[in-house]
Amino acid sequence: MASAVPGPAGLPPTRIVIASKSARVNVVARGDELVVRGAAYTTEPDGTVHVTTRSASVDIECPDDCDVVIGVESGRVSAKGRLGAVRVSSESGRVEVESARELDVRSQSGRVEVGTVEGLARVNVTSGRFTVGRAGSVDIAVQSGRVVVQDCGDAIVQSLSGRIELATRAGCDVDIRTTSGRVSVSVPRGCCPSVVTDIRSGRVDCAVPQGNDGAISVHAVSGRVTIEERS
Amino acid sequence: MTTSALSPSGAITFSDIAGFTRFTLEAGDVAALALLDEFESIVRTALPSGGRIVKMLGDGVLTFVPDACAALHGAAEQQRRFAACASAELPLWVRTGVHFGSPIERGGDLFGHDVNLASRVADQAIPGEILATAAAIAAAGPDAGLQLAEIGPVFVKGIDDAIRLFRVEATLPVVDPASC
Repeated sequence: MASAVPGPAGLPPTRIVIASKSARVNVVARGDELVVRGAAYTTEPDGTVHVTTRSASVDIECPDDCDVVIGVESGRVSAKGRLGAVRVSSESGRVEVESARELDVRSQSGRVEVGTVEGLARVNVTSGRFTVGRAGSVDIAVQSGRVVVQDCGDAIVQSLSGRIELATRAGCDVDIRTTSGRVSVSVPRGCCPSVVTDIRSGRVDCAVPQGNDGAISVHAVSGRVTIEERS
Repeated sequence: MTTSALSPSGAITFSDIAGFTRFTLEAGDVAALALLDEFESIVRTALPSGGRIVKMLGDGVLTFVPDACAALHGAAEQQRRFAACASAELPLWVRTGVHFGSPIERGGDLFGHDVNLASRVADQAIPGEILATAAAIAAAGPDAGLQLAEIGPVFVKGIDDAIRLFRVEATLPVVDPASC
């Protein structure tokens, strides 16, 4: 049976770093202890716990608000409960994060699903599909994948040829750069942002009245950008 | 005959323009060439003293700077200049990867694992972002004045073990690379 991993001065660790080529990684924020099953670990003087495994599966229970850094090549990552700063890099595995204070996800081709991010969600997707329920703000780059953000504040969006759907709150600033991608932004009904466009040969369809409820700037080489009210 | 030699240690930096192939297709060769000219001009302007452009790579550039601190601040200066000049006509949306190591030099070019790794690091970056390996951060030293965020152990193509990567904020205060 796994025992609790002590942190500095007997306190539970507040940061876990996990590296696995192909294991399935399950992290659950629960209680106030850190428990590691299925992998070896080392603890640094600052309380950071490093978990490295080549096994098929590693299960980790950690305290609420714990920072988690995960690197996998092809394994599946599941992070449940309320976590702190979550950073995940994955070549091809599926990634699920329920709730994080802030987030950084880089995925080559996997599918990524995120529930809630209190602060900034930074996302770099090469060709996968990424869904975020709610985020304080987002910084998204897509090469050819698809990103859906259902509710966010300020946003920086970069799309080469991918597709991005963004639902923002009123009064937010949105900066869109696209080479040939398709970006759709929806704002709340009655919201009147200022919209500035810098288009080479792309197309912007703006169906919202202009005002001062935040600013939307669009830089498009040849992509298509749609700005509309949510029904 | 071309001779090979172990180069002194230094920072190896790859920068490439995201979406360049697509831009060339959409905007044409003349516009693409203008973009490359501006890209190269900014790289040269922001290159720290003692650094050199090893080669242009179509839509990217490989540079070598002996001092890691100067290289990282130079990369930040590059990104600030790219951001200031970028537009739909000139999409200077550039990814940068920095690693510190000892490449092999041959005929003025650099080769070896450290060069390959720097290239892989750039592949991981978001346009506008600088990523650096733990080796580059360590070589820059604790007083480099860098604002960092670890993005984790990252597995990259062709390398078995995960590497530790850090995001370097491009909004660093302007520092004279000579002071590093």
